[in-house]
Amino acid sequence: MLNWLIWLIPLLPLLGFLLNVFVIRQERQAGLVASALVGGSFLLAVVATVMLGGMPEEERRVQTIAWEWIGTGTLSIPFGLLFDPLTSVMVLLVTGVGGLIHVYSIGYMHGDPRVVRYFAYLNLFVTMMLMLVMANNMLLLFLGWEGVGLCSFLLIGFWFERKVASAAAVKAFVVNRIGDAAFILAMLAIFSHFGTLTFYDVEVDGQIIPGFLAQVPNLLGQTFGPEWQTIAVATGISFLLLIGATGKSAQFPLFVWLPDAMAGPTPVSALIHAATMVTAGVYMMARTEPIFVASPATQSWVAWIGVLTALIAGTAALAQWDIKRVLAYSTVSQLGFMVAACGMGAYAAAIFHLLTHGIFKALLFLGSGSVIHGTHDTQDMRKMGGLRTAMPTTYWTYLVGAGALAGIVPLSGFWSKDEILAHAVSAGYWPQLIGLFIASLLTAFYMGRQVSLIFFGTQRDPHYHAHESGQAMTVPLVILAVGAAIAGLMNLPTLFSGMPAAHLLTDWLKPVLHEEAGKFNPLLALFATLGAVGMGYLGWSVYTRNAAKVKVGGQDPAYYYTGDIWDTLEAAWYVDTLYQRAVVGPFRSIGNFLAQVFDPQGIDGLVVGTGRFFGWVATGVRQLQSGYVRMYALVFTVGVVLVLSFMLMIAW
Amino acid sequence: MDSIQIPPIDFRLIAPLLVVTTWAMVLLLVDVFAIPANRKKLTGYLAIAGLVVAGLVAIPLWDVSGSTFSNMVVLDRYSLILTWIFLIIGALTITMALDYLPRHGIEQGEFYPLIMFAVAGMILMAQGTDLIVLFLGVELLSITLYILTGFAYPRLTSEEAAMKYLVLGAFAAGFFIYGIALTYGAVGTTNLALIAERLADPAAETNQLLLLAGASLILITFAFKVALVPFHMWTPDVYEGSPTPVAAFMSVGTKGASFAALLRILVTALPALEPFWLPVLGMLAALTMIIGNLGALSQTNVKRMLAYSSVGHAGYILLSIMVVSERGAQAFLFYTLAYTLTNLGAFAVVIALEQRSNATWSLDDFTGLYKRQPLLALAMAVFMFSLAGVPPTAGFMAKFYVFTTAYEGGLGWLVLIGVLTSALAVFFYLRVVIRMFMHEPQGELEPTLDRGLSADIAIAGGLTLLFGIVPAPIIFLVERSLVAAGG
Repeated sequence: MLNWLIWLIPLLPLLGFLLNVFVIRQERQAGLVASALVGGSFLLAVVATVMLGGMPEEERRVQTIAWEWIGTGTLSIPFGLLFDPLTSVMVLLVTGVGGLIHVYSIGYMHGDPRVVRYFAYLNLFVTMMLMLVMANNMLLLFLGWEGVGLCSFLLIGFWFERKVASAAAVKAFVVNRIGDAAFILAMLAIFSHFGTLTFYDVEVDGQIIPGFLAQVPNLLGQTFGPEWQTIAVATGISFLLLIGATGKSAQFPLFVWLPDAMAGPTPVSALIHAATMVTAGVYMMARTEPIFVASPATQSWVAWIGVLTALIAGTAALAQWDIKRVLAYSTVSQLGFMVAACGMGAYAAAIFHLLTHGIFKALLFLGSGSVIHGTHDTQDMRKMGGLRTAMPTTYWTYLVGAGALAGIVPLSGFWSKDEILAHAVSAGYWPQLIGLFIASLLTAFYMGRQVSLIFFGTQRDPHYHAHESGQAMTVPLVILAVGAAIAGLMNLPTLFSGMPAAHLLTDWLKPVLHEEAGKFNPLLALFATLGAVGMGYLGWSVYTRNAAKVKVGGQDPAYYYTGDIWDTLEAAWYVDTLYQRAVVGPFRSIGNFLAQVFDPQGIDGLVVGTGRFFGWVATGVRQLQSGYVRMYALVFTVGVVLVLSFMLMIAW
Repeated sequence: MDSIQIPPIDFRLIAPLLVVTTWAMVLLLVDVFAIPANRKKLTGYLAIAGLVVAGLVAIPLWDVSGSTFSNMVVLDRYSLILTWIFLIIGALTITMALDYLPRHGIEQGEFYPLIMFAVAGMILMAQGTDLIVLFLGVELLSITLYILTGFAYPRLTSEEAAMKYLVLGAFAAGFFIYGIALTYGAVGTTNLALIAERLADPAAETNQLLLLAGASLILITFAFKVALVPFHMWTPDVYEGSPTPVAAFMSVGTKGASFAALLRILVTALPALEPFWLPVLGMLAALTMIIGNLGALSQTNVKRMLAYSSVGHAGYILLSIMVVSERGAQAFLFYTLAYTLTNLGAFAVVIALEQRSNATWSLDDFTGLYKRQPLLALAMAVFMFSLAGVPPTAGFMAKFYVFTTAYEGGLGWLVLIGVLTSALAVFFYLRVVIRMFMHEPQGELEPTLDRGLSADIAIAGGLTLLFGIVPAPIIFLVERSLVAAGG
């Protein structure tokens, strides 16, 4: 039964997508149908998970094949789904949080002229995300991977009347393509070394297609590359996968697209750019864990990239004024925690943090959406303040979310973050531990700051009348707040010997990740709690006391202490600027140069403002693609001479 | 005195070619004498019927293989599959043109038979196993295309395009002939299989220098036909100037046929020279992928953009050709089919947006298309993503196929360039999508969707998606085509 049941999970949202594209024209129906179908998926996922739990532990892996997708002599890729413990928790997160966000969207998007299209995109996204986490091979995973990227692109640019939106959409897609290119190369390498792309052995038409994960030990000692610098194959493949993950999961140095992606509607930020899509990189690393574990070199890169990202984004989040950009940098930072956990070999902890973060960050984004909605599209926190009386539900739920993110005991974020830190201690990753600990202190500080700026003090901009949002929006907030508070229960450490129901998640994931639960470290937990409470209070008090000084165009109260470093933080260490100068600028110049030189008939506004040098060369050589056929013949002849001489030179 | 021996001829083996050619010749006469000037569409329908008949005639040949005309023409599954692809190209092109020609006031009955002649030339290129026959095929195709390019007669750009294509084409034909002559001088034959035999025979005396020069010139001719950098410069001008259905036809037909012939030459005749041609083709492939995609980046004219994109795609196809293996041939066939459907579809959308009076083919024409014609916009999005190689489209599958094949074939560094350039390429395909979905419509431009165009777009779009999701049947077909000309 499980065999066909799991097919329904992605098919329901797909049905919703088709209905919304081809049948439904009314706003109300669109929202209801879209939400109901994702809700249905969630119920099915619960049923499937329960059934999976009923099976003996070593058999908990269901694979079903719809058809042989690609079948050539050497390569056979089935179009098949996989349902195992790791997939089950991802599916629950995607459909559960996704369903709530669908409901929330009904309220948030009410009155938007393109709301049907919005729900169509949203349903398509859920379908693709489910494909991603349920794929039983790399290629199908990649299909989902690109699909969610496409939906993300469409949804970031959804409000294209705002100029920044379509630019942000393009940026997200193009930056992600860098990661995708690495992903494709990794797939090619996996295929050429294992001859298969399926994760685990699977039977198709009576033939066993071998899975590559079990064969990873064969890579030991294999190398490739030039003789003076050989690279272990496992390192090569895992490093390419890592680059893929840095694109999708917004890690250093490819994180620059995520803050800009906030130009999309807020529920989209919650669903795609916090809870689900951006975690795809972490999921993929957990799924292909054996390859990463086989390469200590890549593992240390993974850990350091995670730590570095957590720090850079954590500091950048300190200095943002836009309510959503704070959360965006915070997301990047928390993803850094997960990636670092993977790098330190704590994959179960990474997934734990992924799940709790999915819940509380969705809560925070939806809360910020409620604030934006209630303040008539205000996103600048300098114009807010004192909203806790006008928006009590939003305030209280936001507080829970912020507490969970900051790691206040006993909210969910505390447990999952602690699990990662505890692992760093027990495995002896001291430098990484210090980095992550500082990042978690920063987290508490910027959340205290944000809560203070939004909800405390007095309203700084009198131009709007703040009001609480409707039920379609507050009910999901409350549900998520409950979730954010208690989600830690799913993987509590053994606090005292004989404690029942400890480390449930780690045990559940054991058939996939083969990890033992980490030890609880009381000293560390104490430090972490004291740090979180202290820094959270500090952030709150600094901005509450100085609330009067906060105004548009003025300096941040903290500027007094930090000086110009503040600007650096606000610009996220100028990584984006660096790309503009070092990559985009030259790239445009080259494009412009090529256009001017080789094809002056097709110059685009995209490429204006080349340097004088390029301009000078261009006028000199422009005659080439002048439209004169004699020029073409000349270039032709030069080509002939080159090819001929090249061939004959080899012969010599 | 010796009597002249006429070798036995098996006409069965060239049945599709015969059907297309004779049908076209008869149709020319019918068109002139029997079809009134205001009913020229009928000629088009008859031409499509001819192509369909040829396709049907080819079906029983699936299990037949053999060569005839003194081994100058061969029939194998490789050529048979290509024949079908070429027939599809011809039929779809004619469907596109049915209403396009009258709308632009350039309807002449001979358009349709001319397309059929071009298809015949392409089939000949797929079946030829002798340099002379290949030359015949190339010229039959090219000469018809010279006429078709200039078919929008009163429009200056069309004439200009025809002129440019003619001059450069003649230039290339000169190189081809010279190359054949040098090759003959070196090995004493123009038959592909015999050339390989002579090369393999240590006793035979071959002048290697002469042979290399000849082979280079032949390669260059094909490089020109498929528009490899630096022999690509005519492409944007000619595509822009010629009537759009003709540009569509050239972008897929000429490329497919020329690559088909090139593959056969490399596999059958010149495997021994691989150390020589591999680096050359490698350089050309790298240049083509880079310059083609970079060139497309700055275009605001959709036709020029598609022209550069077709240059880039020639680079990807070349990767599959360079892997002289069965897998390479399979990858080539799959890519050609996927690219054919996608590109024809994209051109059909361009035609739908082409206004009679002021055809600028500007990107702006796509602005807000989703709002005005949602299905048309969706179809175009599918084509763009397929060209960019984003799943779940045929274009992605094709790229994946080619890249895996090339990677296995030891062309790692070219695959790297291929993956990176196709990552770059998404940028300019995406611009079209953005215009369609993320802008409000402006201006009065209404797309004209006649029945032929709709059918074209529906078929191309549907198959592009289908082959992306269920490529197995095509792969199955392609695998059975083995082939690889010699093997």
